[in-house]
Amino acid sequence: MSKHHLGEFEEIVMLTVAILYDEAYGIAIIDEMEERLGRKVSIGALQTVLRRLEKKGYLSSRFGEATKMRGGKRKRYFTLTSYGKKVLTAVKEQRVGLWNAIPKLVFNE
Amino acid sequence: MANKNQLKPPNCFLRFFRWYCHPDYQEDIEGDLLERFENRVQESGVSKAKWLFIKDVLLLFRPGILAKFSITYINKGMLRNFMTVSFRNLLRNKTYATINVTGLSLALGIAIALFSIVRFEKSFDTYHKNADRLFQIVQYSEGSSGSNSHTPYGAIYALREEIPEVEFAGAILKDDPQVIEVENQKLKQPHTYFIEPDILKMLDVDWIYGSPETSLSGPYQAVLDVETAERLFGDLKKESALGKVISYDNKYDMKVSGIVQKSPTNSEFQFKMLLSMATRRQDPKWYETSANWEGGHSWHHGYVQLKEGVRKEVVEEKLNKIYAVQDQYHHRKSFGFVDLKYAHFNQYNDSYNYDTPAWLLGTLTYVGLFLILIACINFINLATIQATHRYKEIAIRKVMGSSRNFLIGQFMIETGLIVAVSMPLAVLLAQIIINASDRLLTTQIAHVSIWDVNFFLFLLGSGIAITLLAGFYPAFIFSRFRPIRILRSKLSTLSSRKVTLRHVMVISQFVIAQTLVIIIIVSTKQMRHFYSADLGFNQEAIVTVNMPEKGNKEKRERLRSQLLRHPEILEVTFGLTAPATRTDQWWSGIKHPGAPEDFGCRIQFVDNNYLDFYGLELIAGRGFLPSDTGRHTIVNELAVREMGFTNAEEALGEVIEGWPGRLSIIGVIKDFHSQSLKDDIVAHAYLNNSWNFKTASIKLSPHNMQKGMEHIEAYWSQLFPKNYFEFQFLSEDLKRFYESERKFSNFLGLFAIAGILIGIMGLYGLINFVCISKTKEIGIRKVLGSTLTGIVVTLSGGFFKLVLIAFIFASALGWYLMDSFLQNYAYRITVGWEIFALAALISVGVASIPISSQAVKAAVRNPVDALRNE
Repeated sequence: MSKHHLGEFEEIVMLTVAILYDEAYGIAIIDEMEERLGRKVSIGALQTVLRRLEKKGYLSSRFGEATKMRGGKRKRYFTLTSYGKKVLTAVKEQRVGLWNAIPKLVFNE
Repeated sequence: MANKNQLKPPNCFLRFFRWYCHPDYQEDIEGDLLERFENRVQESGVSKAKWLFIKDVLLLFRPGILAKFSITYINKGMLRNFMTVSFRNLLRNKTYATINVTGLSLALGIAIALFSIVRFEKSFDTYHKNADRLFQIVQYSEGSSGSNSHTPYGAIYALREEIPEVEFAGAILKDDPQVIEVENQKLKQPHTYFIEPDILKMLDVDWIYGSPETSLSGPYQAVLDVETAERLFGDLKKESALGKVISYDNKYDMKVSGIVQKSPTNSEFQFKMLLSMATRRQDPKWYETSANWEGGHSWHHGYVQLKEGVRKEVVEEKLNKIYAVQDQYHHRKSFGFVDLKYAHFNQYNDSYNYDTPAWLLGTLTYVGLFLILIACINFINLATIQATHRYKEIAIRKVMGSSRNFLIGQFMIETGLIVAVSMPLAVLLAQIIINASDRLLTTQIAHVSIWDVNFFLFLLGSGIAITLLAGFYPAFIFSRFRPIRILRSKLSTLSSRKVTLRHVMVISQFVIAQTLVIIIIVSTKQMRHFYSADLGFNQEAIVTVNMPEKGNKEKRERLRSQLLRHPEILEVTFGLTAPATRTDQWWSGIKHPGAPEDFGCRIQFVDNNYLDFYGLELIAGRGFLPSDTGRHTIVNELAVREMGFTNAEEALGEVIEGWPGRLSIIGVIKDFHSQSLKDDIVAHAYLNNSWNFKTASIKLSPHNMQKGMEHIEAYWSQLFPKNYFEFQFLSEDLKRFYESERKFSNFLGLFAIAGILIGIMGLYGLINFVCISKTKEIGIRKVLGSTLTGIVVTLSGGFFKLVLIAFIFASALGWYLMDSFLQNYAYRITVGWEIFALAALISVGVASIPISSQAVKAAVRNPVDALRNE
């Protein structure tokens, strides 16, 4: 497991990128997280994690087209790499494994 | 929509972002920032969007996003080259290096000393475990803004017994004995306290033997600190002091029942000898009882520790409610609590140790900062000047491919080097100042070590801060030069016509230095005024000694007749105190139909010849006669005016009523200064009751004072064999009124000298540079027939102009500061033009030393040397 260690925030960012599929750029990711999780995220916090995940090879990115909005700056879209997908799945399986290992008693009370 | 385009995010932050952001990330993150900004403008308005934009930019400043700065690419070889070049530069320009190092270490040294003093003073009584729940009880009197720290025992008792929020409350009385007797030796014992055990449960005291309950709750118990135990009983083992007997003022035999460690220096409570308060309660006449809510000994303090989570206001209110019931005299005063940590700064606290006014700490901090600022200004000035000599080096470095960051780095390293050399010197100087500080200022810091982790962190921090402050500007300027222009042609050297930053800096430097000089002159003059002012009574060749058995008429008269037998003794009189004293002031409220309700007088007890002895002038009525029975009083003019009479004669025969009873006025004397000149004259009433004559005043013949003193000591010791002989010259004693002012004025003198010195060093550097860069001009002028004076004037005129401009600012600032400062004193000098004239003379005189010496040196040079050299 230590091979694919993901921090909690990293995991959430990757999941959100996966949700947005083709539309995952900075502000969209922040908005999505805010909507789904009610979690305020600063651009700084998000961007550091995105760059780190990209460096680790979990995400890849490409530039979009320039528009008149955003001061004419292009968006950078992130997508999961296949390696990233594998890691994410592995993490999920670990979690599910843990959940399944909990004795029924604990949550039936 | 057009309008919306104008709503742009704060430009400087956007630029800041672009500067630090990694170029690979810059475009899309900037886009994100802008998009978010646009959304927010729509949602919550422009100003909020701007703030959030700034917040986002600042939050983005983190390692994952930052560009790799070229500084990080500096390799070891490059660093070594920087260091080498920096060293060579320092060595080549020895004058500049010396000026910089001297100036910086002088300023830093003083600043470090000042900051250490401030830190030490602020640490007073903060070390107690429960420091945030400990309070000193103070009384506020209605109608006056002041408070005082005397606490009647009734208040302390009520706090302890009737208010559940109070954990401990206790009384403590500082009462140094005239004499203690230990194993047949007579000794003085300062810092002696009568104390209730509760006080020692509140304060952190290290017990070696005993405990608050066992060692101080019964009568006739004493606790010593280790040093006192050793002093009194020799360096036997400490425990052997236990059980020994100490006689206090020949009144109480106290048995040593405990030993504590020496109190920390940063405490108001220097416990040398502690005696149980229960001892005083054995005395049926002891007035500090649970029924007392009014007067008493001014050193009878109360301290209280509240239970956790209790607000002091709640307890204050409860106490004042209890007092309201007890207030039979309708004094309508109220009680309050001052945090023990702040008691050291409370000027109304009758301090057990010494108090430090809060404004003093502020002043010291500012002076320290200003000195550092002056030194940094010097540094910047000299560095920019030197740069003109180094254009070529910089240009070549640039051509060889050095980036701007490299150059900035190099100049920073040079600055850092100078700071690093100055720092140890500064610390050395600071230590010297601190060692001498108790002579310069009322502080005890000389007795503690300033060295600890925080001190080193402070040094490191200030070193870095100064390097940045002093190095940033030159580094920035130099690195901006365009190599082509420098290499192709000679840059015009610094023109002296334009008002440059350098001029502003020289001016501000001299403003600070000259203001300090003005302050010094004013405070010295005020001190001299204090010392030499006519107080209204004789003080020449007068010695005072205390009278241990104050009511003993027989001994008193014997001393008088014995002394007067000798021609060296001119006159002897007795009284409560000399006409002006700091301590032992007796006061009473006075009732008179014409006087305001809160009218009070200082009561002085005097012998019949006291008025003549001190030359106090009667303006109406008569002096005391032996037949006066203590029902008669003499008052001063002010008291007469307070009672509503315009003419002193009218007051004669009037009856006033006060604490001594009903008194009829038989005489009026001229007002004189019985308080320090910092305060106004107060109303006085004189009584000739001899039961309270505590002081003998003896006038010596000026021809043989030594012999006279010998007589006094011999007879006095014969009369009071169990007491400790001490005498004071009145004129010396009066000077002690102004001890803290004197010290502070000395201390300021030190700053002024340092400020001027640093300023002069800066001037020296500047003029030196101008002379060198104008070598050729001077040569040509000489060849064309200019005179020596003419050249000196051309060279130095500009500088004197700067000093004079600075002087105008300094005069305004100095006048303003001094005028408000002198308001503290009731009797003050006027700040006249002669003070400013003197200050101007001093600063111009001092400034002319470096200026003219350099100018003359340049002017007398042989023009051939100057012109040949190309």
